[in-house]
Amino acid sequence: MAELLLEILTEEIPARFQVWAAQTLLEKLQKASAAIGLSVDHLCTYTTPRRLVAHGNFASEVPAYTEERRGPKKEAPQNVHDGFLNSLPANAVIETRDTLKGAYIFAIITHPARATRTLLPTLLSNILCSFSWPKTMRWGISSFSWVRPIRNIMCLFDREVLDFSFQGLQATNSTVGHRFLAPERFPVTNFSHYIDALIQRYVFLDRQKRADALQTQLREIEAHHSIEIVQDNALFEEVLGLTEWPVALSGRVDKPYMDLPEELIITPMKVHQRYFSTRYRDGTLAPFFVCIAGTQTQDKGKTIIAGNEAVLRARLADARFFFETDKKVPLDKRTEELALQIFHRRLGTIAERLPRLQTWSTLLYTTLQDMPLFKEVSMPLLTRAIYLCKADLRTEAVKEFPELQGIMGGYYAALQGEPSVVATAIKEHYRPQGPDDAVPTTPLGILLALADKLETIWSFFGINERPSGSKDPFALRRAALGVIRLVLAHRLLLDLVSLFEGYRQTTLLSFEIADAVLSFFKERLKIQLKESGISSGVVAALLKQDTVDIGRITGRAQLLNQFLQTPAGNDLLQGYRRLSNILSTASDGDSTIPIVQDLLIEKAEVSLYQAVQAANKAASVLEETHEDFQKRLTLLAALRTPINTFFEEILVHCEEKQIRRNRCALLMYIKAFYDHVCAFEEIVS
Amino acid sequence: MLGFQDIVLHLHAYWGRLGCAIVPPYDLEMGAGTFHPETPFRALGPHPWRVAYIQPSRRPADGRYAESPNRVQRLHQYQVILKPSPDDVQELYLNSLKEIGIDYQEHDIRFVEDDWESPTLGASGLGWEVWCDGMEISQFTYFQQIGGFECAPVTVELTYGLERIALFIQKVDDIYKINWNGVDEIGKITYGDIYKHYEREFSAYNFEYANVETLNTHFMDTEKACTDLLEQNLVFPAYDQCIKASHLFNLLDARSAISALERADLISRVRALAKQCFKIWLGNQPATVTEKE
Repeated sequence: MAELLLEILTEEIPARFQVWAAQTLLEKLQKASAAIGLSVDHLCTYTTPRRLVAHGNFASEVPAYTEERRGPKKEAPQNVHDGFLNSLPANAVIETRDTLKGAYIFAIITHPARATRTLLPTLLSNILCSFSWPKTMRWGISSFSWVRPIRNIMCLFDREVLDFSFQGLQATNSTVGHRFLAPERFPVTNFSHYIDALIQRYVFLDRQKRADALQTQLREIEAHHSIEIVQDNALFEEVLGLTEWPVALSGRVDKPYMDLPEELIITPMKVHQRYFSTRYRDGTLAPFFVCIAGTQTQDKGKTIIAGNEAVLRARLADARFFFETDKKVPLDKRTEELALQIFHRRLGTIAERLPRLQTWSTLLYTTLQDMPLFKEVSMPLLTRAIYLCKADLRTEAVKEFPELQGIMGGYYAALQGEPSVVATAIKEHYRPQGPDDAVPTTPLGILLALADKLETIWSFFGINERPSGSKDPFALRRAALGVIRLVLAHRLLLDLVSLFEGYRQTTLLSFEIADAVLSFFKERLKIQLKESGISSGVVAALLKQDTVDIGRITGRAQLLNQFLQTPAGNDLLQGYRRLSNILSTASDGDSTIPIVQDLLIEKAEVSLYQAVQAANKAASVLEETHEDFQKRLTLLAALRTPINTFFEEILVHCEEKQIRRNRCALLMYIKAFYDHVCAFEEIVS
Repeated sequence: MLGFQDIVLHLHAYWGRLGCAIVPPYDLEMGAGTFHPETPFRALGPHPWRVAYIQPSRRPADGRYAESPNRVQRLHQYQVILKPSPDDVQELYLNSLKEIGIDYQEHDIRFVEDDWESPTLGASGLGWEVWCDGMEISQFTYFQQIGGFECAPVTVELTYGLERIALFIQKVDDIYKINWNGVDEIGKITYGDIYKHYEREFSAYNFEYANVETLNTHFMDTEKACTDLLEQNLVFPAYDQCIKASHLFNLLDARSAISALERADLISRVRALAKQCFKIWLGNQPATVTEKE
């Protein structure tokens, strides 16, 4: 085995592509080597903002092998023979062999062993040429495109420079260190030397090492100031891709800005500056930020920190300007301006959404008002929250930081003296914005959040802007998942079927839209349940009902899924399976025929009848609760023994027509008893 | 003290030494140095070119009546155009920072991904924002397309934000306090001395007094003039009209006189004019370039 070390040195590669690039290079090298029979081990790839690196041990040659090619039939015309012979290398041995299909010409070609060194240039060129970066560019005079300009190629095989050139660059045995701290070229002898030399030259080649080094520094800063750095994985990953040598530095947030709403401090820090924010142990925002520099300086970063503090001051001065300007204009006036702001070309202005939000909120409140959570809801306050909830879209702060919609509205509402429930509802109503975002917790916030999402979904479905495949430009799936999460988090008793029918009747929208939205929700729910490990049969069985109560379906799905994995669950399904098998072959089953007790003559059928009667009686006092659903399942499972005995001892398809029909009626009665609990046929089929 | 004007003079000297023609700013109101004819026209076609200039850039909506220390409605960009992009362009750029007193050994310079697009010019490129101690001081762009036409060879555009650089170098926190002439005490002229009243009055004009109806009429006039001039094969006079249309659009925007719908429409109309200018200019060039769109 011999060591290959390849480094493509480029101008700064966007952070978001780096992990992908290392993985892609690895896969491509494995595949290309396997394709030519070149054995490889310990293959590893790395990326830094400036480097794409591969290292591995390759066999020093691809061993010799023999290839056999079948040519034309012996009696084929001469030109066919000539064509075949001309296509062969000079060392091919020609034979005629009899096969089942007649005599054929065969060529046996011996491929000699080939030195890996001679194969690698083509192999590497092909990989680099076919590297499909998500976004590429051209530079200089070449028509070649790559993620950013390539500036050097270092390539060693078995400790010697590989004779390899790519896009006009001849591979060398040298590279450079950190752009500012060690820009001089240095020769590389092998991988272990390379990785050490890079560390000495302020480059962590290994992303994990870079991450560890950064973590250590972050912990030191935390200890030094007795603060906690707010964890932000996306930001952490991004900064790892912005520097070869991360240096965490902490700066101070100017005191006068600390009284701004904290989101207005954190958002510019994160979005514009890629800073981590910090908190004291008690959760309050601490007046420090952490920036990740890419270099270290003689003054230990003092100048860098001062520069960053000045930039942040300017950003926060802007934020303060927005905040102060916004406070001067009452939200009511902002709401009036919404008549100027287009929501969507075919859906009109944002102002036009407000009456629809009102309709939804009223409907939701009417449906949910019996739940203790909503006992205290005041309709006038809900109406007030609706009226103001979109006003902040006209504020300077939200124009600058769209991600603060709702949040700023909440602050401004509180500042102009709105009741706190109104301000909180405004603040909460866009939530949850993703799987990690918290759901609203106040009654008004919940109602408004539900209304906002349902209004959005219905409006876009109404103009036929429906998600399809990977296309969901208006994030309707996220909105639907938001509704589902809200319902589950607060155990809302909400049947979507009747809710949607209520809205349809109020608005005179078409049945088609209602059906489409309902199917859309069922689909979301189905995917969500499957992701949480519920079998698709169980999901189908519970969705095949006249109501779509998200909370009930989800609860029952979990319960049923567990139950079916127990022996009792197995009993339940076995019993059901036997029933439906026999009924599917019964020609004169008729569910309208009553069971005649006198016609039940055998002991087994009498005891089955009695067992079902008893179960039915027990079920009649049960309610639609979670616990009672479990009891229903247990009742069904207990029927297995009498069902088994019945089938062992009794012939359903007997000669006597009346008895036969009576037995079928009994079985149908039992099946109906099952089907009432849920659509078991979806599980057994 | 390195005054604002010294920054410009140092950049002129540096890029002049590297073979750039140092040309005057273009004498029309425009939103960015990229609109100066020396950028888009030179980036198209096959001929090598190097040019540098300072360009006052108007952003009517950024006016703050001279009350914000960070935002102005008219700022200065320093623009360098190198075609084809040299292999050592990053080093050339970093050395230019040294010339104006930003030593990368003492600061944290970073290249942060930023793909650039100008919808009005139908132009796009890839590159970075250049950060210095957390402040964006330049944009560094490899042009890929202008007016929908592929740029080959590729031009690199370096745009320095002069106000930000001056704030940074002089360690002041208010644009109006920037020392303009580099004189330290008696005889010192600041940015505020020169521009404060401009900013106040133009903010009032941009936000309050620019006549929307007149602006709309002017917009349509420039559109017509541009088309008429192109029929006469007068590309540069036609392009002037296109620059004017773009500025009129920005003024209308500052007056909040454009709905989201109209916005897209007006931008695409300016783009259509610009594309037509570039197309005819390319047709007048000896070598041909194929249209991508």
